[in-house]
Amino acid sequence: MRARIVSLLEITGDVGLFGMRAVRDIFRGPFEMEEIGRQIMEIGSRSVPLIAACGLAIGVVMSLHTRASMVRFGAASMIPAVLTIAMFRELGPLVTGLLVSGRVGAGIGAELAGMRVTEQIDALESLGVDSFKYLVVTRIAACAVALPVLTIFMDFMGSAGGLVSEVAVSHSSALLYIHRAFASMDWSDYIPSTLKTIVFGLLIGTISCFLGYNASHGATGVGRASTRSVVFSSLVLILIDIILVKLTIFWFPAQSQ
Amino acid sequence: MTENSHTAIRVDHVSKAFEGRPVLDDVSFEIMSGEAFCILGKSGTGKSVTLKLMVGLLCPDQGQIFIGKDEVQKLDRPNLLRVRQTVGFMFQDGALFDSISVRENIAFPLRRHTDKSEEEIKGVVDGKLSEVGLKNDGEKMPSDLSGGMRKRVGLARALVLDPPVLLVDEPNSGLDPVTASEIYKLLADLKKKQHRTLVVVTHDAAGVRRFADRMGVLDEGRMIACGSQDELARSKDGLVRALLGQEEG
Repeated sequence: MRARIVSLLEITGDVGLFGMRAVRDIFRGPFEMEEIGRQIMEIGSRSVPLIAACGLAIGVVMSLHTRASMVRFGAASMIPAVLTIAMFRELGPLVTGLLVSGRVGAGIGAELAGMRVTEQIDALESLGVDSFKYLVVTRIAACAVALPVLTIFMDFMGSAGGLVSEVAVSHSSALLYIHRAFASMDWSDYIPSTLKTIVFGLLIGTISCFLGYNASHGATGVGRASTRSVVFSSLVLILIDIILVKLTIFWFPAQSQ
Repeated sequence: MTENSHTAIRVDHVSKAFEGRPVLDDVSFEIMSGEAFCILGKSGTGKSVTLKLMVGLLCPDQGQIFIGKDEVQKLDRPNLLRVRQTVGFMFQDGALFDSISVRENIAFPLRRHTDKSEEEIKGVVDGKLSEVGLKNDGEKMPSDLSGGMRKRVGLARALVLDPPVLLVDEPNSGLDPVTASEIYKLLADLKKKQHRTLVVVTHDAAGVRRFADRMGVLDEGRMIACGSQDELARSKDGLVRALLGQEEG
């Protein structure tokens, strides 16, 4: 048991150092802008269909669930605001983070692990290319850039799902729904929660890159890196989210109202 | 061993262990510019590790390695990356970047390290593809290539920056004798026509005989013999004789 705790602490330290090195290298030239752009497209644009579908579905489901409770308390008119605030404050950022950790985290883990075991990373190094900057820094930076954008997209798709559901069920006006949804929104409802997804992106990128970049043991190692990338980045994301929500409430007391 | 201005690579009392298991034990040798040096040995005797140590892909536990006058382990990161551009490395299975085509694999170092225009890059890549006998295969993806073709592309990529030194890891592994012979012929041409320094790691002494100036034999991490082909042929050591095909091992 003691050995496992020590091992866990060692890995946590290694991941932390790995992430710090990557964040430091993001701001140090030469900048791999072309590769960062390619990774943003890979991570961001290819996640859009998944984010769109999930956002819409969550909006509809939330609307259906919320309606029953709110009608019972005579607060049906608050449904748009409740749905939108829930989506922007927490559901959008967290679900986007989890979806990206599943789709992108697994991909990064498997891709880098595959490159490691087939000596492609060694080949990059032997060609005089800094593999850490080229493979790791670019992916982490791309995750940090793509996550907030995807989150905003998820927020709006979720709101759209709620709108469609509400209009269909209650036959109310779409414009009235939009007015009610956003009238009570404050910037502190969406700025901090969107900004925290930069941290989610850094975490997903760092954990997945760490596991892939340091993979070993051939094909088994590739599979292991891929699976662990999803498991660890999802778990850490949820745990860090608790801390970030608490910090957000501390810095923006309006969020606790 | 004294410093020599014509020394391309110097390995000086190098030891390396993995998880407590010694792989190289106090290995020393020197390779001169323009020389073809072959490291022979059974599988798992530290041959590939030696090559990776030479370009700093691994760090020795003890000893020093010099590329020219640069001590590899003392170089900072930018200088290490600079020195690596002067040493081509042909990996055992090619180590091609599998997400880009053969042509892009070969063009990759040119795009990274030179200011050549797209037209110039195309010209150089076409030349390298012809040199390795793959002029019609540039648009293929690495997954569409046979083992021999992958090695040829790996060789073309290793040579595209015209490095004076080329390290070759097991050029014949996984290949039929005919294809292996073609790879050896390419290496022999590099030695003869371009006067590059070659360091070839293999267990196939017969294959490298046509171009090797000197050979070293590794056994359980130690360099048990080192010299010209004639000198090694006179060795009484059973493993050396077996690797040279002079008697059963």
